[in-house]
Amino acid sequence: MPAKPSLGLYFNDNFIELSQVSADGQRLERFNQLVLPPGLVVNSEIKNRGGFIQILQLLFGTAKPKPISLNSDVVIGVNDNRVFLSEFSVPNVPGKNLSDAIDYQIRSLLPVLPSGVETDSVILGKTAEGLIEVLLAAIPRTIIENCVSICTSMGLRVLAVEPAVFANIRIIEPSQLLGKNLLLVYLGDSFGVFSYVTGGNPRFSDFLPQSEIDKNGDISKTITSYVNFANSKHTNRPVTELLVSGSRQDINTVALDLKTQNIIATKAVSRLESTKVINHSLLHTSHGLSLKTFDLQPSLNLLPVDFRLAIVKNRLMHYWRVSMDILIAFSLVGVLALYYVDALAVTDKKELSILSDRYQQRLQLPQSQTLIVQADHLNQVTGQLMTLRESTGGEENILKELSAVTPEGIVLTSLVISRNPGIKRLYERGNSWVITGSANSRPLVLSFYNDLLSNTTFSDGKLYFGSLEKEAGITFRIANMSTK
Amino acid sequence: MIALASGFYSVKTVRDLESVNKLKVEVVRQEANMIKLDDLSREMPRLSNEAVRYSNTLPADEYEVANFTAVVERFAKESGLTISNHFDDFPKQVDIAGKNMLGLGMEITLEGSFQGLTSFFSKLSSMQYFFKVDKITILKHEVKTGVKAIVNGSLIMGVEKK
Repeated sequence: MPAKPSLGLYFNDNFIELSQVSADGQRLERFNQLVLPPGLVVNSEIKNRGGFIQILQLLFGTAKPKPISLNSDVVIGVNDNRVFLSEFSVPNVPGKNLSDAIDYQIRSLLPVLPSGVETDSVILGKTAEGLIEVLLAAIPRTIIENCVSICTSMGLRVLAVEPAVFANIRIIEPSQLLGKNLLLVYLGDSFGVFSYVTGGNPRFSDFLPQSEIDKNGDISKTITSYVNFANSKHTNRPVTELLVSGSRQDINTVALDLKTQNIIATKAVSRLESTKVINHSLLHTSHGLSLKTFDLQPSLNLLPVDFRLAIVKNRLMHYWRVSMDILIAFSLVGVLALYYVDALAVTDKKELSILSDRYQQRLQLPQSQTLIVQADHLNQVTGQLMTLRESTGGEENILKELSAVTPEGIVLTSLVISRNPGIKRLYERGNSWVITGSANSRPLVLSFYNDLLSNTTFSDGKLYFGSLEKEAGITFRIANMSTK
Repeated sequence: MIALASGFYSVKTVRDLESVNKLKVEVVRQEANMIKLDDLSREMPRLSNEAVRYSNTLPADEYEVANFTAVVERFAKESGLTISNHFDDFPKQVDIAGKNMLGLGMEITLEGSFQGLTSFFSKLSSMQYFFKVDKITILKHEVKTGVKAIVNGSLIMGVEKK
């Protein structure tokens, strides 16, 4: 499934900003940043919920992200001054054992963390000794719950909560980070974030307000102290480069100043293409938050499990509601269709009934009844005549046939043929008949008999001779019935 | 609610469609009858004439039976036969191919040549009346030439008196 961009929301004590990137994650679509009234957010904690909501509504109203109803997913960045980052390493054990080892290590660190924190961890890589390096992040649960609660009340769906440093790194072109140990200096208006990053992974990150930077002397001295600190902590991964990033408009100047002080500094390049959205430097924290959903690798998400489950539940409920709405819509359409079909059927029924009644009335008219009676009578007469034609006549055929097959030398003395029940005509097979006669010779009789059998009327006859001894002047009888 | 409405309209629609289909079949049958009625009203005068003509082939009274007798006697004469007829006193039901019709029993006695007899039967077959032959007995004369034939049968009659 292609990644879906989310809204990126970031705030600290001084400002709040909102970003939206294009569907392909290449371009900034919407952005706005508003200054927060003093005291509204103190040390990253929202002190005035109502006031914050008003500011948030104003931010959405001015940034005008594409319809919220279509894209209400939001990723919140927590200011690094309230994020606890810690590295630890565990033995490289396979499968679930590694997960158990990490969990164990996190539990052992909990006593040293402030109470009521939400934690998550991500594997950074391996040490030279083959141990698994893990980065632990912890954020006070109250901060997370406040943010999520406010966003949820505005109809937003919080997908993730992460430390701002991850968004600051994510927005930078990956080639600037790959394989490098560098100090990322993220400069905003009146603050700086100093993060030690190896291979694109943060190992520590500090948020300093401008006043703290000034206390250190200036930005270059602060950077130097952080470089020294990183090098002391990671002797085998010394800082080789300084990457200047951030939303401050003058980071080019800062980078230039650093170079003049013989500090190798490179200005960060944003992953996002240039855009017409005004009032930005393409390196805002909220931009990086917007891109979180495009992460291919697992990354930190400090949104508590119960909130994540709530999201899943809400999503399921949403799908269920949509499904129900569709079902109801289809059902309504179905009912309407049924109503329409039924209305048509009722109309047809009325019309057909009227037509049927009209035909019936016409049939009941006296002249129609007379015609029907006449037709019935005609049918009866016709039927009788057809039956009679099939059952009468044709008797001459019997005589003609007899005449045709009777040779010289045979004299027929009698013929009796009578109709049997069920036989239509007298000349058809199945009637009873007797022929008697006399002949000059026996072969003549046999020949006559054979010829007679070839006729259908007489085909079932049997020959009886009157006297078997005589060869001439003999009598015979052919019949299909027994006679005396 | 929707399910109830859906169920209600499903049942109602099915019933209405069934009754519409039945009515359609009925109306089609009635339309065919109307066409037949139109045909009848147009053809009935001609058909009535034919019916009358057919009815004339079935004698319905003594007068028409006498006509039949005259025809038969004429056939015998034309065939060179002598004829004597004997009728039953009353008509009775006669089985014609499984149907009962009114018939007047009759015995015809003919004398003459065999060829004359054949000719007589040919004429009998082609006459307008229907005579159902049930039995033919033909005997050769012993003392003179020719044959004697006794024909038993029924003259089929009409049921209506004109």
